[in-house]
Amino acid sequence: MSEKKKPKIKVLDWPAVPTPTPDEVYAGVSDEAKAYNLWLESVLRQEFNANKPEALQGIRVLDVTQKAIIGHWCSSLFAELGAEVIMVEPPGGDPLRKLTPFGREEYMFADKETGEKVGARFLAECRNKLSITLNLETEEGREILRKLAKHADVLIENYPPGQFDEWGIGYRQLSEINPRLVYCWVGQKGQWGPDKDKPWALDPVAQNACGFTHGTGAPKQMGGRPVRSGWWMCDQVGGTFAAIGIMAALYARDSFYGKGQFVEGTGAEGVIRILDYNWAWYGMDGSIRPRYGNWDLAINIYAVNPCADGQIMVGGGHDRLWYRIWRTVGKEKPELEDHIVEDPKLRVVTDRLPHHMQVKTYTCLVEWMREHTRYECETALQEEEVASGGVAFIDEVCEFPHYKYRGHLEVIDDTLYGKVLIGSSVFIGYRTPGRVKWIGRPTGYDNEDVYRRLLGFTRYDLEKYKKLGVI
Amino acid sequence: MTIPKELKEMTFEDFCRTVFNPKKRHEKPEVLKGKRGISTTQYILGPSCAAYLAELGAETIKVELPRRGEPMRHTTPFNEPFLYPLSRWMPDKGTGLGFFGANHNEYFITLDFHKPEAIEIMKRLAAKSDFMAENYRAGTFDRWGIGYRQLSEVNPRLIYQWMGGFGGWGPGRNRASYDILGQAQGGCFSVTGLQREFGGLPSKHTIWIMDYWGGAMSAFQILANMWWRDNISGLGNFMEYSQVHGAQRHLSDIIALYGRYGLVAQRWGNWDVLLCVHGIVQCGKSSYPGSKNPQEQEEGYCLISAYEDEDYAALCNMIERHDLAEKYPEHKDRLDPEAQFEIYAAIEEWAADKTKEEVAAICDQYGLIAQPVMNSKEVSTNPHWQERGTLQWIDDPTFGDVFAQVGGYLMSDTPPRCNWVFKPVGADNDYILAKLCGFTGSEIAKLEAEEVI
Amino acid sequence: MSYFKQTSLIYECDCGVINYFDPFTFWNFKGKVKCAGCDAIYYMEIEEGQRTKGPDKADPPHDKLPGFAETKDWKAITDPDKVNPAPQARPDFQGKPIPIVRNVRGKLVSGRPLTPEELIGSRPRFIVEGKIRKNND
Repeated sequence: MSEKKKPKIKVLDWPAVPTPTPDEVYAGVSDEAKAYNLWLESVLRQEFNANKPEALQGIRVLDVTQKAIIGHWCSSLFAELGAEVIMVEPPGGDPLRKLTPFGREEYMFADKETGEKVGARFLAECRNKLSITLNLETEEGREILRKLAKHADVLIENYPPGQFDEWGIGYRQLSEINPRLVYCWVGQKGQWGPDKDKPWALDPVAQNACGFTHGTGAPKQMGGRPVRSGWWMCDQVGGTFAAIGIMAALYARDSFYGKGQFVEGTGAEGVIRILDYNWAWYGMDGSIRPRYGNWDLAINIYAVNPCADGQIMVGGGHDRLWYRIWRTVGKEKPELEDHIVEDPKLRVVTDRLPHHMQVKTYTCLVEWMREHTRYECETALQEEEVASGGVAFIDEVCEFPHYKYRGHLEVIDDTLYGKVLIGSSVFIGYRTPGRVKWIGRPTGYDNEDVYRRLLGFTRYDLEKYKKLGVI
Repeated sequence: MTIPKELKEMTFEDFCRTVFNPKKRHEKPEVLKGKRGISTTQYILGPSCAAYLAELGAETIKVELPRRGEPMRHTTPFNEPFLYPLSRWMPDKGTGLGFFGANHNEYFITLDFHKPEAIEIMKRLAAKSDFMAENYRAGTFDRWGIGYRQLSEVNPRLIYQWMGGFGGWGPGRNRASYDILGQAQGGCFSVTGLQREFGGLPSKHTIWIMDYWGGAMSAFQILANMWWRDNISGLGNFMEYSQVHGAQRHLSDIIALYGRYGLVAQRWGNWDVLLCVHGIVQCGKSSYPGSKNPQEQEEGYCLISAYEDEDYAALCNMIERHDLAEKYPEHKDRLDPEAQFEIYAAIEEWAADKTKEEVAAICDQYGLIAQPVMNSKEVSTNPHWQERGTLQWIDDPTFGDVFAQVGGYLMSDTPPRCNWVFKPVGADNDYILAKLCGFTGSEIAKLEAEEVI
Repeated sequence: MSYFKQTSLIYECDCGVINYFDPFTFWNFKGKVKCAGCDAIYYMEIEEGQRTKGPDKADPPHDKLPGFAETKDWKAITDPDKVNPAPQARPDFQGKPIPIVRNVRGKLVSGRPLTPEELIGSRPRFIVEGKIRKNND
């Protein structure tokens, strides 16, 4: 898009609408009724985080991944809980730094010191991390990595399968240097096996390979086709499972095992682990899970359907909620309520599951919802204590009073990048909450600190390696 | 401590195959041997958290309501597959497959928390446990005398993880949530689905992702806190996981774009906003023209990834559209939305007379990465996953030969494992109450008669 | 006039059959649908869920079938020639519990209702024993 066509957006400071105060939130609630909620606030609020210890204090992680988000996501979880995470990037930086939606450089983030631009995708997973550069294609670079590995508890890498082993810096070699090292490879489908990864395969390879894409989107009969997740979902789920594997290995090491081990986490396997009943269902009778759009194969009512100003989720999988939903509809359209509750085919919970019963249910529900906005539907259903919620776009998400109040979103006032709004750490806790301390670092910003501190480099060493293109 | 010579001399692939061999899982120690957890959870978010830790060897005790068990047992796709019995008291009912995958390796007991004896039993269990996963409405357990404040007095080392939809404080604290409500209100729908130009609406992720993945985040947090407790502090902890918060964590990058530039990200279908060509295209032919299964009669889809300049040039060569190579020489040019519409349309035109496998094979010849969209049968029968132990036939002691997902990650020395997929309601009442709560056979019978268990 | 003559997404045909235009397929729709009861063809336009035109009698062929239909005495019409067919996981898909004792690879699995006599504790006897006795299956 040319500069001329670019819309001028006046950007308000976040939050555009002030965050509610505790007095507003608990107005009219009796002391007894709010006592537990206030106790939770007193022990969990993120404003107290800095008073509290960090769970993974003293753990050092080398994040030697690039191009994909899986490794950075994985190391973010450690960084949020207090581990020292060092991103080891190729000179010039991880290529992911340069990616920005539709290539729009004007929507990148520059730091105050170097002016280097970084895309939001990379910056979001740089939290609390240090950045150093190292050229692993040189033998000197690999030798430096071997030395760094002595100082590390965890190393995460995502190079092509076997590449590090060939280079003499794989698990087999580094575990000789540092037997306590937990070494993790991350990727899409795996570093070994009949269908192993091709070099630098990226999400959505995993989404397609694990059956996720086939099952997402509307059924063909209803004009749909398979759809991938809107983000690199497999990377983020697989990265989470890789983090569980690494954390388990650290726990084993320090409680009884005494040494590290080899861990592997992939986007596809993380999602295969959580793909509901797909495998059990196939195993029982050969069923292939069909796509079912925004409805659910196993629960009715439990779906997102359109309404006057977008789409809304309504949930009520059991009888109590079922009748409450139709009572809500019936207040305005008694004919619709009668039409549902009098239908002998819909009396029993399980009888409501076959497809055509779901068509009837949701067509009748939407016949009511089509005339109402998300807010009106939600308010009406709330009166009957039915869970519902509109499909929210990201501006609505960022201004959602509940999320602002709880700090799901927070502005990181970063010394280098200025104010950046992010999704905060989900690790909320009484004693060791997760936290975001800084948003990220320009490429190689911590070369001097890390190489001096861990490897005793002098200014001459740093200069020499820089000249050789090693760091 | 060094790696044996024969392992060093193998090819890397054989080395991996050896150290990760899923058949040897039971020859290796369990990470959480001797650790115990309680899971008072329903649906998927809480149960899955406990199940991941049970796969690592924790003795995890799942507490359900007597008789019917938890609601998820009564959900199954299109009301078809069930595993029987639901319990020894209801052998003609079954557990639906909605319950599957979120309850591996657990012990199943029942308790009616409205009875004082049940509260006493919970305290006895908590006194002997390392972690607890709980997802009742915030404050309910506290009111019953078995919340963190009371249980931490019984056992200061207890790590208590509460999980729920909106969290226990704030304006929305009383709202119930489900997985897709979290997806909808968290923002996940808004960026997933076919483009507006193709008539697409915001779409859900087919899996209960906010639940299952939220459980994984919680399991990670529990493990990290067990590490902190056992190596640093000796203290337990109380943690809160809010499902909707997870959605914001997932979408942190587009939140940053909103915060600074006011951009509201939209769905971009099967293509990618950061890379081009890196999208899923329709391949006109079905791979199984003779199949009677509608899932197999569908035309195929395949990811083609060729975003680097030289790969893109090869792609244009492959589809014989040299004009497109000239028109969009740089990655930045190709990423433009209008360019994406043109390029993907040209690829789909080329793929219209091919199956997804044919497309992938031709891409392979041109050195491009391609990945067909696989259905759950193709995934289930792909030897790759069974060789790696990701998917495994389990000889379940109760339900027989079942096909299950295991672990979600590989570990060479202390791997996760699946011993059984789940058990009927109350199947371990006798064992657990005798072992951990000091009840005799006649006392257990009395508890059952009084409907405490 | 019957209530379902005036609604947007549900339509009662003159033949008495109630046709359902599911929001997935018909939220934005311009074209002809066929009544599942009498095969009458109607042209209609639906914009964002609101019926803005029709239904007017029209000539074949139709563009789409209704998502579901039923008679006034609650009889479901699910014939694939009459209403849009259900997404299917298998060719013999039924949408109700199918009792099975052998899984896709022919091994024993406890997929059918049991009687109290068929249990050992909480476990099915035939799974514990690893075989099906002729008289109880």
